[in-house]
Amino acid sequence: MKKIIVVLMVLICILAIPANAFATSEVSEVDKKFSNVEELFEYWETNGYPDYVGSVYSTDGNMNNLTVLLVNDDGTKANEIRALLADDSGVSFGKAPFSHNAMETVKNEIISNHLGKDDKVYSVGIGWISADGVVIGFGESGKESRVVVFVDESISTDYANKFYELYGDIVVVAAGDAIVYQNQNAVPDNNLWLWLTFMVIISVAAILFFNRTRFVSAMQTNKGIIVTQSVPVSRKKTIEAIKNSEVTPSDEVFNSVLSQIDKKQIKRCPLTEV
Amino acid sequence: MNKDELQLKLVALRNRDRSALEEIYNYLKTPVYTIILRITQDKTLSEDILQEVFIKLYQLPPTPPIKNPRAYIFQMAHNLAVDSVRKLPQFADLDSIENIVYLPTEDFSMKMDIDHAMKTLPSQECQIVSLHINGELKFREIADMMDIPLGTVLWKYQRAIGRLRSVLSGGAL
Repeated sequence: MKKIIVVLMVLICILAIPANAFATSEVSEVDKKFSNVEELFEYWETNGYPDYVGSVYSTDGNMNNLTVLLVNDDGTKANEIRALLADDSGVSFGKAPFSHNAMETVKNEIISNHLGKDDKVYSVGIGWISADGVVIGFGESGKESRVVVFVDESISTDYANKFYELYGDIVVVAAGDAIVYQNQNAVPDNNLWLWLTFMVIISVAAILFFNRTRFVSAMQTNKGIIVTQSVPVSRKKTIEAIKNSEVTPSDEVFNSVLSQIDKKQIKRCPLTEV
Repeated sequence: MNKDELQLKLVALRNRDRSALEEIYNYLKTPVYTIILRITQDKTLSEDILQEVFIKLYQLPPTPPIKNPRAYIFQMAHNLAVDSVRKLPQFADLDSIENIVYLPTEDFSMKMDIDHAMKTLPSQECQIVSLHINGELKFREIADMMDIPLGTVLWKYQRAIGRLRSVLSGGAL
């Protein structure tokens, strides 16, 4: 068992290309030009990954060709990364739901809370997993990374539930050579019928969702503006909207604060105030 | 006003300097009030809590030096707001308000409005988003304030922004 775990962890480390924890850097802060994507990757390895990078993997097994998975990018960050490279022919981009830094934070929390404490948690890493001898990544692309926690089979479902509640989809619990899902027992990946059922449910849900959104023909905002088309709102615009939605209290509040302070001071030491 | 200036104003508060109180109030009233309002969903109650925050701050200013004066004030506001919500009759039987979801009460078109989009979030996610974006607190400070793991804060923040984007996009995502 331990041997398998060691092999899997080595695999995870190699495939996921680990980064330094908590270190961040923004594209705009990098003023030097890199000759190719490998050099940029080495820079990130040394100085820390930006918060919008999910993971990096070799596109074809060659370090000259790397795919960078970006979090919530509308193409801007990808273009900025390309602009940093003298030769951008080796870089490709994809999408990732979680940043490497977020996964690193979760990994470190799980390590400090569970590892080496007789909790039957054997190892924690960031990357892909090997099931039934086949290396697989996560997400729709099968290339995304997750925080992978190997635990003892006897408590695997408990941990799957617990980590899902705490961290959501960012954590994958594995026991033996199978992924453990919350509220289920360990499910081997070669269960074809289970996967087929799952795919049918997803397909039906997708059709229902498509139909529901397609029939939204017009909407009206609070201010009476008619919106006739659904348009994706970027993450940046969402954050700006939250910032702009700040509410200012009425002008009387501070006067009321002062008058209450006065009242309380009179009450506390009437002689000095009179 | 930076961190050091805020520290100085808090020191002045210990000498009952009302102009310092007014400066701190004017600097922080909007983000603090916004966060309180996101928790209580009630303007009158929120103004009462805002008053209480600044009265307490004036009467019992923190003993310097405090590590992060801004986080200290937001922590005070957050705790008072959460306590006030717990005292409301409709939430009296609840141990935790973190999973309360304030569904939009009027027609669905209000989903287009950010305030109403925020109301569709569970209370804890709404607080995390507001403390980070409006309060400009770091995720680590929010985790300490709310006594939850940092990873949970990061995950809930990501999830909340995703949900808000989805609501604001009117189903286009």
